[in-house]
Amino acid sequence: MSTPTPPRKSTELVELTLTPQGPANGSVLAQLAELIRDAVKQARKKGPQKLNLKLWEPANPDAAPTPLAEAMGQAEDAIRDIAAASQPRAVELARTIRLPDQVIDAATRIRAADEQLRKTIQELVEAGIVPIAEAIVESPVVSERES
Amino acid sequence: MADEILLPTEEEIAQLPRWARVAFAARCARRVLPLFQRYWPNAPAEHLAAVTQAIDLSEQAAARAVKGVDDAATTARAANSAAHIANSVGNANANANRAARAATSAAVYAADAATRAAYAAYAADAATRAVVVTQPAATDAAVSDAATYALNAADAADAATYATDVASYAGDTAAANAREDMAQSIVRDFKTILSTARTQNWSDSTAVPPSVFGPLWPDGPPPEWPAEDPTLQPVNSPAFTKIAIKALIKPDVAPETVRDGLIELYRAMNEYHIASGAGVLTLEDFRRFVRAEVAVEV
Repeated sequence: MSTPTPPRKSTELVELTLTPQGPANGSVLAQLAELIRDAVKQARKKGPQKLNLKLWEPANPDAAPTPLAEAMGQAEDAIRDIAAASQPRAVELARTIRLPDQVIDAATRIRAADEQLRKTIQELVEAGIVPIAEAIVESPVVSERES
Repeated sequence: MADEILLPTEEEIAQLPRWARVAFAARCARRVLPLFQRYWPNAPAEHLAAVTQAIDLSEQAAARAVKGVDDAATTARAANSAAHIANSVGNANANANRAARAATSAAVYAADAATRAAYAAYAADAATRAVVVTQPAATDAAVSDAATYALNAADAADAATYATDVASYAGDTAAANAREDMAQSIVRDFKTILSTARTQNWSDSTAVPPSVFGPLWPDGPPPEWPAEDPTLQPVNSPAFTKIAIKALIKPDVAPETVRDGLIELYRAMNEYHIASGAGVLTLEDFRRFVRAEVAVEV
């Protein structure tokens, strides 16, 4: 993006719903959500971010595209590309992680991923983007507003 | 016979690094969990869930070597729940004979000991880090807690064999068959984890997942040993199928920062999910929200 964009005047909200490829591991999803909540809490140095869903409504898809909406569209495309590209490695790792001699390597990888996610969230919060994570069973909570 | 096999002592268990002790305690509790289900088949669902959660949390604590007040608090609550159940077994399970009640209590006690070991490990970890930062006075607490979780791990091992022993006195053929296997398995688990810790130079910060021990019964369970209910879901691990991330984007954040930030957030989450052996996180939905033009009541 080469052209500076004018600053927005209000907070916006984006929601990503992520689903495991193949059978879901509820424990891992719960751990991931908890990890994010803890990292945000640490980064903000105060309690968890509260969100009043009644104050939000889905953006009008027919509205004129804004620079932010375009950036989010680019992020969506990139995320789908990364997911597709990481599929073979994920399948291989899921297979080998069950081998006894791979257990320690797996623990090391989890720890490294844990640290990286915390670092990423720290940077996001400092930049003004505050993630709120929730492991869910059905549809996203935000959708309740539409019903 | 079981009483001829010497279980690892508190001093021997103290040779293990921090999270290995917790993993060992949780392993002992995991072994005898089926006895709880067998001897208290009509236990309130929340009791069974609490005991299972106690073991689950201890395993997860060791597997992630997580540092956090919330984790410690959750584990403490689980320990309290397990202890409460252990105390209530005698009255609530009054229809069972004394040995069966004792077996149930011992199984719960093993779970309780595992969570107490995990909690003590959290406390020791926090105290150790406090020493590094600013609070030298916490050294004593760290040493004290280290002793506590070794003791608790030993308790869990004792409780596991005790549960099997008293169940066999109750005339349980499966438990009688398992008495020797139980003690041998606990000793084998201990040797496995001690050997692995030494050869791989584990430290007090090394995470120890339950799979380090290998299969629970590598040669198959003892004859007629009750199987753990595979449908049982611990209360902290419901059947989550997806994860939703809402990101509040404050004013004045540049669009390209939002784009790159969301990509990096997804990438880091996906890496964690993959590293945990749970596969790729695919993007099911991506939605934007704006402030409602007319704010409804708060």
